[in-house]
Amino acid sequence: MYKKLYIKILLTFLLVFFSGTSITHENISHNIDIASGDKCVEPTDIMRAQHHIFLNKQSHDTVVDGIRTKKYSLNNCINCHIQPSADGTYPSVKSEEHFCSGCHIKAAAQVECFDCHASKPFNNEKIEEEISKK
Amino acid sequence: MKKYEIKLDRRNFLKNSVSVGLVTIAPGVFLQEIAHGRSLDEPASDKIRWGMLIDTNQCTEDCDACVTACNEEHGIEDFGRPTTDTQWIRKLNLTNEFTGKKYSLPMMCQHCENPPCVDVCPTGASFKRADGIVLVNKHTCIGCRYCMMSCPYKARSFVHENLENQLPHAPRGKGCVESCNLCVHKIDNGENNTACAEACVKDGHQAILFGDLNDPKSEISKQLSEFGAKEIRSDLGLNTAVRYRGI
Repeated sequence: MYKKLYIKILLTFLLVFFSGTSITHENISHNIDIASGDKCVEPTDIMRAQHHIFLNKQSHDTVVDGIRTKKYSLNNCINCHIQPSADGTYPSVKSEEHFCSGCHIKAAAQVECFDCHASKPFNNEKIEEEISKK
Repeated sequence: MKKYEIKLDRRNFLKNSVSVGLVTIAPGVFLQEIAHGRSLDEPASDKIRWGMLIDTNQCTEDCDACVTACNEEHGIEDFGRPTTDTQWIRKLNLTNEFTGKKYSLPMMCQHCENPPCVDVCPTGASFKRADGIVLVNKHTCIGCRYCMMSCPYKARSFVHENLENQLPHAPRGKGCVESCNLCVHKIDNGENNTACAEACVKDGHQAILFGDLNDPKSEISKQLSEFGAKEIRSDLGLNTAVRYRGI
């Protein structure tokens, strides 16, 4: 009987502890490109708490099994959430203007995805320009 | 005993031959459907084994279109340090000392059936996908480079430099080992060809042929059964998916 009580207390503690991180940065604006979709793939509170779980699962499915669904793919996030500023350039992942870094810098949770993954949408014309410059 | 006797009259013969015909046609049709129409949410199938046939007679010494195309496709940069720069595919020019005959061929990951790089990997990052493609899971690679030492083809490279502006379909970063992935992103999107093979055709050669080794109707299987091809270091028993003709 006591065992059940302990589990309940532990679960409550964990719930409070982990929900805390999402409460702290509720006021950060979550800019979404209206043109590509008016809402995210999941409600905001679920995305705030579980986006890393979705991304981890997707990365395994893609690399190991070759599943390339768009819904939870990192490229899909980037294409929608990273928008160019007024001068047409994309924000650097090191600045707080970047959608991911906006929260991750404030929460001091270092994100390593962009050591390897592209941090801005794929733009064919820009890459062609860069290649022609070389 | 009489119950099981088959009467081989005209009617029964026709009936049997039609049913046998249906059974033999069905697997072929099924295979082709998988090879050319896997949807995005379907995992890679072990009914397929991707491979390449390289005709060294069509490959010329001065051409490196396949290398350039590979570098462009995956955003591989040249840092001007040839000993440590990443290379997924390289050109080899060889001369037979006895006959004097010159050979030129591209060398890349041979996508072995029994890959030594997978055997030695301490984290399981180096693995063989269901459809025979040997890959590095960069999320688990710790950069120990055992696989580089075990590979008899020197196919793998370690990324020594900080990278920027990676392409969305080709995530690459410092501290990981990488090698030819048979343009896995193109295969998953149903293009079923590699950048090097496309570039080779575009440049007027037909040296690289990509296809499904398990499908007897594919062009690569037909050519392999008709003309044959060699496996480099066949003595190691690795059963490579990349085969060479004319060496």
